[in-house]
Amino acid sequence: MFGTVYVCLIRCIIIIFSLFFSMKQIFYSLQTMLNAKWTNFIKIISVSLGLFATLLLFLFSAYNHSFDKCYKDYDNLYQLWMIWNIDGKENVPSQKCIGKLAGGVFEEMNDVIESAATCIRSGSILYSDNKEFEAQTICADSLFFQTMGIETLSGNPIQDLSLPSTIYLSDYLAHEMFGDENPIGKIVSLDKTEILTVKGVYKGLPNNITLNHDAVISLPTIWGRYGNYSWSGGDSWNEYIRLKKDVSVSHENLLMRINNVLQANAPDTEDVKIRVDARPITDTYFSDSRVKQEDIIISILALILFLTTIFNYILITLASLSRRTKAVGVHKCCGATDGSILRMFLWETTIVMFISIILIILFCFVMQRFMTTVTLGQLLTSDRLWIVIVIFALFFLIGGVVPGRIFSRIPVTQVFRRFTENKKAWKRVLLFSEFSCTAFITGVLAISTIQHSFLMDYDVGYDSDCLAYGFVNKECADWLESRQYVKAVTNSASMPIWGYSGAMMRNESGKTMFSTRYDFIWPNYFDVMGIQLIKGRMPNAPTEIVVNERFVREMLWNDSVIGRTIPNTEFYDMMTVVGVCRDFNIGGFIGEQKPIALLPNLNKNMYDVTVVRLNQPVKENLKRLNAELEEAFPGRDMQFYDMGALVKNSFAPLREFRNYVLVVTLIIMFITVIGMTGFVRDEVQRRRKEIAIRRVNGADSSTIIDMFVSSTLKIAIPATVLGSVGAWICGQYIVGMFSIKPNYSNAIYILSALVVLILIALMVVMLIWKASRENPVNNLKSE
Amino acid sequence: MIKIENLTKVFRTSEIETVALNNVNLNVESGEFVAVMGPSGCGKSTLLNIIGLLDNPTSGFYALNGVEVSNLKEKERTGFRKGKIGFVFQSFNLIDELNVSQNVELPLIYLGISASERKRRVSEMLERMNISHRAHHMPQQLSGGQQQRVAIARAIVTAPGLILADEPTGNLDSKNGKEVMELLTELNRQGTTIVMVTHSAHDASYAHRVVNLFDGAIISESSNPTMLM
Repeated sequence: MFGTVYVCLIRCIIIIFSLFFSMKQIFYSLQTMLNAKWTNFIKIISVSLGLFATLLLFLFSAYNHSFDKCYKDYDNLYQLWMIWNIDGKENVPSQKCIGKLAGGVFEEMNDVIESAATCIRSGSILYSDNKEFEAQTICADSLFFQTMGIETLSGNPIQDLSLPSTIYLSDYLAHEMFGDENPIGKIVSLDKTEILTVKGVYKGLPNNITLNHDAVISLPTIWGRYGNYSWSGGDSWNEYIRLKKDVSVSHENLLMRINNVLQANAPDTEDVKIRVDARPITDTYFSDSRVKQEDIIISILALILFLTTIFNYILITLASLSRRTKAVGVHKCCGATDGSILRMFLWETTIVMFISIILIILFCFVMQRFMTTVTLGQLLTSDRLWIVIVIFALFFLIGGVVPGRIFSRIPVTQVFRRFTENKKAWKRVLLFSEFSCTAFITGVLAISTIQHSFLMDYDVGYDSDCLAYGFVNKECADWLESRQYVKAVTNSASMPIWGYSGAMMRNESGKTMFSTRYDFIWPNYFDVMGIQLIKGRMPNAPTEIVVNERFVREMLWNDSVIGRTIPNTEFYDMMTVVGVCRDFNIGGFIGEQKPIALLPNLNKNMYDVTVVRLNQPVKENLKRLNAELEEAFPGRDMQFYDMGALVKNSFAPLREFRNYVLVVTLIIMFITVIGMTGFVRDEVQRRRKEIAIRRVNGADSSTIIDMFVSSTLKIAIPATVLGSVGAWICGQYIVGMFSIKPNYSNAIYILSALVVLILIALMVVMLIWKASRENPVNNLKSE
Repeated sequence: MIKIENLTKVFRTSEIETVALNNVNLNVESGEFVAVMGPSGCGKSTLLNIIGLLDNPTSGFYALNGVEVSNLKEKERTGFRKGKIGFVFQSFNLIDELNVSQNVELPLIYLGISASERKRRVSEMLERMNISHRAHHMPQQLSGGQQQRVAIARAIVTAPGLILADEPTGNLDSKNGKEVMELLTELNRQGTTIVMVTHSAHDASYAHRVVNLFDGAIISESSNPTMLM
């Protein structure tokens, strides 16, 4: 069926081209392609797949590099970073700054700074008329839009955002919530806790920004909830400054002045020194080492895939050398110049590219369904079209010109004799490259699969499988306790997967040690969450806390832990450690395990997150819970969500990365098999006389097979070694992206190299099988 | 038409040097039919390649139609060759992807002749060769004799002054071989100069003159008293 479609397609193209072009080279190219239908079909499929995946990967990399470039004059926009040095030990730079930094810096440096803004992430669910809308919100000050360079479509943000209970919606969220109605003056609520009035609408931002938000809430709204907006501690704020356009200031000078402002307001102590860095906002996304490493790997994969695609195209084209020499010679005898022959090959490449483009568009439609974290429309924007053009241009120039030049330079005298192309160096180099790429990508696939499986099986330190979470009030929490399918109910301020707020910790002598993450929990929290208490007990008093193992290590408590005291905390003057829990993951799997302090909520006050442990079957019970909630609390629109699914979803970027590698591996393997098939067939054609003579002189088919396998392995073994070394280097990057690393032996690379070699050998045996058993007389006759 | 003096062709590899033609002197007048004979490896095809401007000599003088062509570059050789020299090969060398009329049309395309004129000339030529009924057949669908007639049609469609034939009957049975030789003789009679490489004394007997090559040198030349007309 494919063959018929292919022939029809080619015939249509012949007609179209014949109508619009008189150039006979096109006709000859098409005729030649039709004559080798299967070869060209395979060639087109491999080029389409190769270029499609190459484009996707390069576009993805370009997308990564476009983060935060949507802001007006983004070159002048800087984010403030804080580097804490505690007791001589410098922490990694943090995006979270102390509250008053940006405002203070703006006040003191308004000769160079046009504007500054401070913001903090807040809830992700808005309600309007009891309808729920998933929307990422942030709380920001009145200069936020001006500083970031975000266009406001209505409202006066400088005035509005300085008042409490005010919200600005992005244009798309406003449309989603209120349709064509004017949103100004509408009332919405944040997590059913804050009542907000819509005072303005701003132009929504694309996905490729580091500070995502669908709505901006005025900062005064949350003063009660997030109190530490000061010069001391409270390192929870994202802060930005916009430099004046017409003022020139060196980066060193800018940093010096900012740090002077900080010193004036939050001077260094003996133990704690803080330094501020101002980085262009476009650097923020790549400040995450995982993103940087992933981008490097994606770029390497794209480059390797692109080279493999081109090499394979050249290899398949060159593989037809012995078959096509005669035609080239005849053309030349009839008056064709080298240029005419080159043009014929360029036309051939053009036709292949033309059909490939059609197929690539089809692949795009199919692929669209499987892309989760980023859509094709987000990748392929008009400003990134140049990537598509460059990829195709390079393919045309290399894939078309190189074989075209080789063919056009065939000495015309060869047409009088059978042309035996002895210079195999080209083909060997190309095949070597393909084998190297295959070994490389197989090794990379092996290691990323190991990492992925390891993370999927990784014990996060709590059991999220039967848990559901929601945002409910005390009345509802009590109601939940009475449900027979609800095993237990608990509450906390945040969830491990979202991460916790930070607070400075001091040791017993008052020395600042580190910033711990902390949460407020109900007494039954560990039981419900499945967190293991390994020492001591749960707190019985407000001043008692439970810490994790990392906390103990950071405090350098080598001996007994229970009963240790922590002075001068943000919460109480003195707190006592009464228990140690096993480390559990917070904030995802990328960063290191963090120290955690869990403070008791003995009165069972309601903080943001309520967690329930459900009986089996969880899915049905969760459904039932939500249905009954709706009935029991009509109009309150409270809902519970599957925590297990949320935890699993946090693997989505890794899964997508692993899928990218898997797809690239399959494509490269497919391309390599095609390239190798062409090479071996060409070798059989070239050496058919030799095979026949060997057969006549007593060689059996196994000797012939052995001969071809050995000659192919001579190329494959060094190529595979090289590819595996590359995979090993790349593997270090991949594993380095995660704080949680699997234990694996480097033998995995040797094993994957062996798999590649065995596959190559098997392929050669399959391809040579028939030729090795052919009657030698036939081959000698054709001589 | 062809004037060759002290022509030498040496093939060099890193290890060996092979003298394919050694101080060859040859003159071919316009309208002559010359057969070049000799054992395998004596340099017949090399000489034909050089005469056909497919290759350059290592040294010596070669003039075609009074123009020295011994040191032309590839592009210049192609330009000079176009429309002036026709080639007939032992193994026909038709392009498998093109049908009979497209194969015959090939040299006219490279001469830049208009499509209507090409069509007319191809049609005429196929009529002349008695293969017009096979115009849309592919080469694989023809007999050896028919294929060679197509090859000759392609060689003469531009009405070249010189036809170079490399063992034109080598792949044919005696009946088809005879037909081809009669065709060449007919062309020669109409004024086309023919230089033909052959192993066959019978084929050589169609020529006006026979040149014998041995180890790259002309060892004898004889006009053909037994010429078959």
